[in-house]
Amino acid sequence: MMSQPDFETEDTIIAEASPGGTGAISILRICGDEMPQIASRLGIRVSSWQPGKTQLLDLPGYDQVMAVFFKAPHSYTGENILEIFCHGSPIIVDRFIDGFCRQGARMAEPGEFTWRAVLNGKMTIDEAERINRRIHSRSLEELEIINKTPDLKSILEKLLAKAREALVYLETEIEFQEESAASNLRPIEAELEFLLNQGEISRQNRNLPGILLYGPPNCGKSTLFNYILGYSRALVSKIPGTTRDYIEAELKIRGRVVRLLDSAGMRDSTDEIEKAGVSRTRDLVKNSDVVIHFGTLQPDFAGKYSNKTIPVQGKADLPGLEPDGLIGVSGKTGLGVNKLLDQIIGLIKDRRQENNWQIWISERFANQLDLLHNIFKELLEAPLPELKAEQMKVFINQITGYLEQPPQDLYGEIFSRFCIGK
Amino acid sequence: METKKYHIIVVGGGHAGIEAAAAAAKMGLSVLLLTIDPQRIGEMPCNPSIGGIAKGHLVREIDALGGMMGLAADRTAIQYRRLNTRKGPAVRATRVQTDKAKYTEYMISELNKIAGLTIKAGEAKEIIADDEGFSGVRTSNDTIYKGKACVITSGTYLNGLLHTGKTITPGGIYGQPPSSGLSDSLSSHGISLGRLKTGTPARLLAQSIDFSRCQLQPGDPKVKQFSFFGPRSRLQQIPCYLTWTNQNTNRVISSNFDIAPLFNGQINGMGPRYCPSIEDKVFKFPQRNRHHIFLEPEGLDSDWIYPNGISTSLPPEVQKEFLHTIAGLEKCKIARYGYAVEYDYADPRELEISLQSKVLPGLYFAGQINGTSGYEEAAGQGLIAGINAVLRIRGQQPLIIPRDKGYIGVMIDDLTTKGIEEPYRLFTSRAEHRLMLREDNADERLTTIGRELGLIGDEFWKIFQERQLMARREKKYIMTTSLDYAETVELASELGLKKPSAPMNLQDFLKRPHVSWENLVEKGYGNSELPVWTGERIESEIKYEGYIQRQAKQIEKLKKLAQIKIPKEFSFTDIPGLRYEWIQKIEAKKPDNLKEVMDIPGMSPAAATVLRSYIKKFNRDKGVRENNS
Repeated sequence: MMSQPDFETEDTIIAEASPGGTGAISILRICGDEMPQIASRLGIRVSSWQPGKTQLLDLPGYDQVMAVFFKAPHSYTGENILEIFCHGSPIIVDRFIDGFCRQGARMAEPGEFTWRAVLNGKMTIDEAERINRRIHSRSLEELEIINKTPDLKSILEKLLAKAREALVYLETEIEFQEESAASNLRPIEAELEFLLNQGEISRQNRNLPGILLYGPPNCGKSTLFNYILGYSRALVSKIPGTTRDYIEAELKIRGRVVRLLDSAGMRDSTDEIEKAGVSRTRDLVKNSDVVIHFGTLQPDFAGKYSNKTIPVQGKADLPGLEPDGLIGVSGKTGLGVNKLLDQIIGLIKDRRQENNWQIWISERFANQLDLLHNIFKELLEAPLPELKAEQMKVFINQITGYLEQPPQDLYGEIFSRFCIGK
Repeated sequence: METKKYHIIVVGGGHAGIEAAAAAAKMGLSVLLLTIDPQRIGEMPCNPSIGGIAKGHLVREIDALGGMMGLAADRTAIQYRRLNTRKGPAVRATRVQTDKAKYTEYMISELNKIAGLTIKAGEAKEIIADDEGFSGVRTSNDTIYKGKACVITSGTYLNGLLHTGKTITPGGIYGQPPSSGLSDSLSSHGISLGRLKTGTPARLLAQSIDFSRCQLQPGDPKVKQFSFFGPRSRLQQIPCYLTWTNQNTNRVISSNFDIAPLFNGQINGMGPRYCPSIEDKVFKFPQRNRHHIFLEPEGLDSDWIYPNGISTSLPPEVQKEFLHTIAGLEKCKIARYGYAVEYDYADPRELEISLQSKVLPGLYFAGQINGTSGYEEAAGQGLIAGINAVLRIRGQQPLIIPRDKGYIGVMIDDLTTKGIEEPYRLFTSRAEHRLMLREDNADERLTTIGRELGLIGDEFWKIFQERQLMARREKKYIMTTSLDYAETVELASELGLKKPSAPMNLQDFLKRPHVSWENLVEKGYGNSELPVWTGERIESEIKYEGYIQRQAKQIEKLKKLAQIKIPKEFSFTDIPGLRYEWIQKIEAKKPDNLKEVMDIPGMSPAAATVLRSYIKKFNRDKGVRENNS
């Protein structure tokens, strides 16, 4: 599968490396063998600079900036790189990009800097993928898993060694009929199953965990939502049914990024808008990782969702609403919130099998594993030893193919998902 | 000093020499077969059997091309067996026990019938060359035979040393002197020689063995014949026996490791890992309590038993002691002690794929001198060397069997491109396209080639063509015959299959792993007149259908790669994603096209993808450059 990008790798490229928007500093990155010539036309003469040392420049018409020059091959991409730290303004950033492009640079494609780093041998594809995943990691736990995951090459090589050993046994069975060397395919199957399971856990962890506040109207969901969020965002009122659809927020709980959702109140209603909101809420229950259930669980709900539900008693600050075996919480006073958050995090860890999470597996690798698994299933089903051997060779070739896949083939699969400027 | 002239001189009268001489003479040239003892042509100095897994495949290929070995094996067989019958048709193989004396007798009488073939006694001492390459052979008694091409099939004779315990006797095989001058002559022409080792077990006297303590191994009367063209053996069929070594045997052997020539430095040549001596087996697998031994008769009139599985070079008294620990052999008498033989081989990487020397044109090598082991491997190379010597003299292109057309091709390609580190034996796993290289279709793959070369006469050609016709009819019958439900249920139960839920056709039955074409014939479906090979061929084609198609696609892909030429000015060094070790290997080989790059051992398909895109880019850029200039 060739997915060669249709842009030239000799071009000088430019992009903003910071997230964009208004702020203290914005960073621009310009890369390419001809960068020094292009920059000099803007009055930036990097050839006289000491590589790696910051320079203060006053560029009339642009900005007062700080800049660093990295000389090829000692740079992120292995090519000449200029990084400009300007005042954090999208207008200034655009001004620079425009200026450089007029002099012969072009806007970088997503991930193009890292792609060049791979093409120039500065890092492997696996390392590049890992960098991207680190940038997007959502919890300390995930970051740790990514950091301790062995490189892809060693995982595949381990599988390859097992497959080659099994092939030797298969072939021995064929070539020496008097020898009884029963081939053992179980270790490969076990390894594949382990990796697939890790892939599944990684997949579950790719999405932010969703925490849903769920219960009848006017039970204190939105108040709790606002309390947890730390600022008033949902419209809080005492009239039942105000939260018709749902409101969500990304926030950090105990060091991990989660989605908190405030659902519409569940009750039978004739209001069309509210009815739509209610059916949406049912989907939310199904798809969320944790449901904070206000009030005692009904048997049919418990039957379906008890493994991800925390039943709470809302408005627990009010007299007469003492919890009845439930966690009493109050969005008004913060009562019980700490305990609730602990339980939420525990449940997320459980639900996402984080205790079993040992290896971070990218979507791309998970797809490769799926294919390998299909080949292997066919192998197990092959009725004759020579056909098993044949299929084992297909399996082995598939793995070596992955091990030796040239980076040119992978732009579309990997780098186009990076941020621009990375 | 006598001087005689032939087109082709074949040095050596073993299995390689026979095929080389016979093929070259049948193709119409004058051939001299020069051998130390013409009474011992086609001798089997080791086991008394022909065939086996991958080796049986080779015999069938030799036979399909018009060689001698298959017919000789049938004529002298005293037991037929089919191996791997529980596995699929591609890896099933034929093996026969032969009567050694009759085998030699048959070969000598057949060679004597071939016009243009002269057999002479003599030891080749020197290869004579002129500016154009090979020009003649000088023997030890100073006779010179002039020729345009020469096939060297010296077996284990070159500087051969026989080891039994501390006793070292110069010799080619037991009772035969070695060839001492030829190695020096080859070296002086610049041919690189190395040292290998192989071995053979003691021979036992049959009447001293208690066969009642061994397991009977009868032949298989259903196996029809080896050759596509000749009849099955008419000789009496006799059984082999099976016994095992035990812990006492292990103890005797391991307590004598210090005086084993293999371990004490006396033998330097590299021996075969897959056919190890018993001392090797005990040394490498100390936890294994027993190793099997097949007791194989050396002939109907012979009193000798060949105990297959315990080749050894231990001292005679140790051989006797360990043999006497074995069930059935407690009182066995030893007719001849086992020995190891060390000999020179010539590096096969110095050969073209035609088996002609790159160093000395006109000189061909075949058999153990190329580092192979086995009668069948030798015969296969001998046949090709003989044919190619003729084609060269005629000024024609050499015969090259591609890897997807025959094990002969796989073997020669392996030898000439990869070289060897131990005696090379053929395995089915050496072939990339194993499912296509079967015993049952060797004729379909190769007989047309044999006919074109003039090695398949009118009689055999007619047999082949008739069989092809019958095969097509039978396949059509199998593919188109469907059974009603009652018939389906009945056939399934007769074949021991689960009761089917719906009617099946014959094809569906044959796709089941353990249903053979023969099973169907036995139950009344199919043409029982059809040769069993041909029936198996149809069975294979149906059983392997999807896999064969996939392999055929791969072969097509490789052929396409062969069409992508590598531009002369193309440089491999700047290609990202191409490993440095590959770049070195590619640049050393100077490939003409991408397939040749892929043929380099260890090269991955991914490398081809990278190279293909860069070669395309190179050609595109070149077009642009040329248009601009």
